[in-house]
Amino acid sequence: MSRILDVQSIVAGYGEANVLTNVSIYADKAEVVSIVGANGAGKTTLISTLAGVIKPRSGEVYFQGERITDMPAHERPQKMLAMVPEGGRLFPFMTVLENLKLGAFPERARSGFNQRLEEIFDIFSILRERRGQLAGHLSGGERQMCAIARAMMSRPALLMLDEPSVGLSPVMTERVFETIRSLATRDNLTVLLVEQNVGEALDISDRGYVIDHGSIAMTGLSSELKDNPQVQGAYMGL
Amino acid sequence: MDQFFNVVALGMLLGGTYALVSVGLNLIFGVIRIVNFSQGEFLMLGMYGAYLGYSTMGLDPYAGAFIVVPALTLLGMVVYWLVMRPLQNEPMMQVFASFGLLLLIQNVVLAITGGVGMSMNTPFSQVTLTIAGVQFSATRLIILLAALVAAGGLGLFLAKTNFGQAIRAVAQDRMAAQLMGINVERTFMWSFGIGTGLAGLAGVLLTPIYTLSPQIGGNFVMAAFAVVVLGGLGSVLGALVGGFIVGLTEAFAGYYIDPELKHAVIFIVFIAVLLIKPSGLFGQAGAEEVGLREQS
Amino acid sequence: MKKFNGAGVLAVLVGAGWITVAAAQEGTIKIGAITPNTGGMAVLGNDLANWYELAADEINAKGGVLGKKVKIIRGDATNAQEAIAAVDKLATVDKVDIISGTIASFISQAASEAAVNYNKMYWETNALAVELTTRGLPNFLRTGPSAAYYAMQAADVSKGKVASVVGKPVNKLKIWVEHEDSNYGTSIATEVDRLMKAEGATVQIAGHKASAVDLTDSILRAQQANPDIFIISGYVVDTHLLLRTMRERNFKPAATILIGLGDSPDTLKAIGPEYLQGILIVTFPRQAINQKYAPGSDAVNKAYVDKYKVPSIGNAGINGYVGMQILFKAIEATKGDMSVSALMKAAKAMDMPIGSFTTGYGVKFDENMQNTRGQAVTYQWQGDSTKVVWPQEAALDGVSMIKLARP
Repeated sequence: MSRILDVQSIVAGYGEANVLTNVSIYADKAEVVSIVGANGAGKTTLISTLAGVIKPRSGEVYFQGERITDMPAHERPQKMLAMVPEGGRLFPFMTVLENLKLGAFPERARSGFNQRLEEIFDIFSILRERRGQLAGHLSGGERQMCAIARAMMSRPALLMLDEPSVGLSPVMTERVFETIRSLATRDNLTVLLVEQNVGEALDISDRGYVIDHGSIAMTGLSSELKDNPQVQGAYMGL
Repeated sequence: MDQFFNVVALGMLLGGTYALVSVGLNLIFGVIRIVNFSQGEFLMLGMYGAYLGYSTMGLDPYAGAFIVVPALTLLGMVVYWLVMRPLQNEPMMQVFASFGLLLLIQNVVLAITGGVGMSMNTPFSQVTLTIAGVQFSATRLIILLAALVAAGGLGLFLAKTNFGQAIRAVAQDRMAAQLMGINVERTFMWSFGIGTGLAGLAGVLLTPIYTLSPQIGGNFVMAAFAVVVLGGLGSVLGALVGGFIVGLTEAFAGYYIDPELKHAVIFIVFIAVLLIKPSGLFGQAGAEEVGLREQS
Repeated sequence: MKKFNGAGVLAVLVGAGWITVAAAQEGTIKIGAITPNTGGMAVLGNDLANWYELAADEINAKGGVLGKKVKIIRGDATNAQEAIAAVDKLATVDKVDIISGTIASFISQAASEAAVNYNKMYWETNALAVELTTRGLPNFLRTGPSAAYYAMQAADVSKGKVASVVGKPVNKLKIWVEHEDSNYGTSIATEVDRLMKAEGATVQIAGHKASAVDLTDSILRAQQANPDIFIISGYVVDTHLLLRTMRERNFKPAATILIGLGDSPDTLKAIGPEYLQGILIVTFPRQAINQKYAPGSDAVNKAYVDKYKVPSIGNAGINGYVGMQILFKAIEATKGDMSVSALMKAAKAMDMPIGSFTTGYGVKFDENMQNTRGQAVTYQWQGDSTKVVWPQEAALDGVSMIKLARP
């Protein structure tokens, strides 16, 4: 199994404070890895560091064997690393189609755009209908789907998602998670899923990390974590 | 009654001037969120650039535009990179820096020229066209055309090209744009450069009409601020429509009421529009919108 | 190793004017000159200070005033704050006897009030605002014309000459005064209005912003009124824009009078000689003037070029030169007493007829200490240059007002 992502002893934060004190994680090819934890545990800081939006203070990040610790955020999509930020962050005054086009902005993703667009429309059929609509006018679920589709336009090797279930109804959440799972299977995609919705996230992932106060508190197969009474007590309200 | 159409023509021509001056200002605001107080000084540099070409090489200002506009685009990019970029996490400081640039550029030009007024008198600047009794000054007509071409061209560029779409993406959500692989700093640099280049274009085209002074940029930019707020901050179409509203209001108020009161009338229209639509006429709707979303 | 030569260094410093040697004060009359030497008015400010120095050179060459050399010490001021600071420095550091100036009225106002604190005479030669002399400041007088004298000259040339050239009696004249709407332009316009209405003429005054981007509306309105005489009282940028718009709109009043400016090479460049033909300019007297009216003005213009290697740029510099000469006369009259009271008394007593100085000025101060014999004159664009055409006796022999209506 080949290692896609290898994060070694990351320290990161904002201003004076360190949010992540010492985080090491990894993800292998075609693996769905979830990172779960409470609000403020450092999940978003971790994923932002991996996307290059935040620079780590120490530690290393390797992606497909290449050191990308200091690589600027805008160079990472070219390296097949994509992220769906919390809330999707679509470009509200652009159409769905324009948003998808921007997803294919990296040089690498521009050739075969039309074919890729058809593939994406086959997976996200609602977007085919909504292609001419302004992204700002989409419903919450459509918006999240569109954001995932946009990230997929760049044909990533690693897809990172920050809280894709936030603000969605349980039915919609389930559909989003199903889509994520099927993408991983279909494209041999590695997925890094950051979630507060611990139960659902562990349901669709192969492996999981529990993050607490800026460091990894527990790790293991998702099924094991799900059965762990500590996890159940602290995060799943059981 | 024949004067009525003359006044309409006058307002449209003046609107073209205001629109051209405002487009660059609005691009910079829409994309980078900097209120560039030094925009008028780039316009003034465009005027002096055209004058320099005219007085040293006998270059017609319209030909000089092909040198002056790229030069000011480049200057704008350098200024962004050296002055604005280091302050990008402090928006208030960027506004102060643009004000500092205003003083710096004015005083440098003042020191070089010694404050002597400069004018050119090209044969073309004396041409007027009379169509059905309505007079058009040829120089003003060219400015009107340039405004339409610049606004239309910029609109197409933003809508149709990859780089234009990248600029709009950055304007709407710079963090998400980064995640798409867009180099935000480079986009800012180009946007600032295009904005100052457009100011330079306005300056060049205005040169045959005015007597140059280092302070002249302020005369245009005060109106341009009204135009962009009226039309909607960040909107290219808004700059165009706002320009025509201010131009026509000024012409009608100046001719039918009193030239001394025309600025007061513009101010009344300005307040009335903002009361009805606080975001300006084109402040929020439409895909031509360069962006008005709060950045986080 | 060379020995440090203290005396040599000192001599260099004195020569460069960095050290004022106390002993020299005895035989010197020091006059502080407050002018804007930097900023937008620098050209005019330096020109005025140059003329002051030329006046000092000339009197020094003749042995000075009462045997004392005159020295001009420059003080730079571009705004009111700097004016006050410049007065402080001139009075305390340079220890001048009298302060003079100024190009701009707002600088004059602040500087002259600051001079009161040091009990120094403020000998204004150039600033134009009428209010400067009506403030009742105890140390202030003005040797040159105020803005009101521009208006008086405009009215005088209109009724004395333009009416007959236009071919209408004065009380049938229609006059439009287009002024920039600050105090300067407005005060001239209202004064012309008053003077010409008193003559029975029909006068309309209209204002515009000097910073306006377009003035076509003003021109269209004036055109509609179809005046015989169109008078512009503005600054350079708006005056040029008005002239260009007039040309563009084919507006040809029988006579056009520009006030205070419009006789420079730059106006020639901006508007071109064809359209300028016949346009009248009311301004300070300086060149192309009859030597019987303004004795020695040709010679002194030449002396300026000899000294500074360039022709004088400002139209007001020679007016300051004459102001200095009047000051020298006043100092002679006080026998060297530089106190405010002595100088004011001497000035009040002066009575010199028109034509006493190189600008044609005489000296007679009114109760506000405004010189009533410092007249503006009227120039006209003829060919590539301007020539005095009014008053009649100031015009060069063979020069008269050319046809006003332009092709």
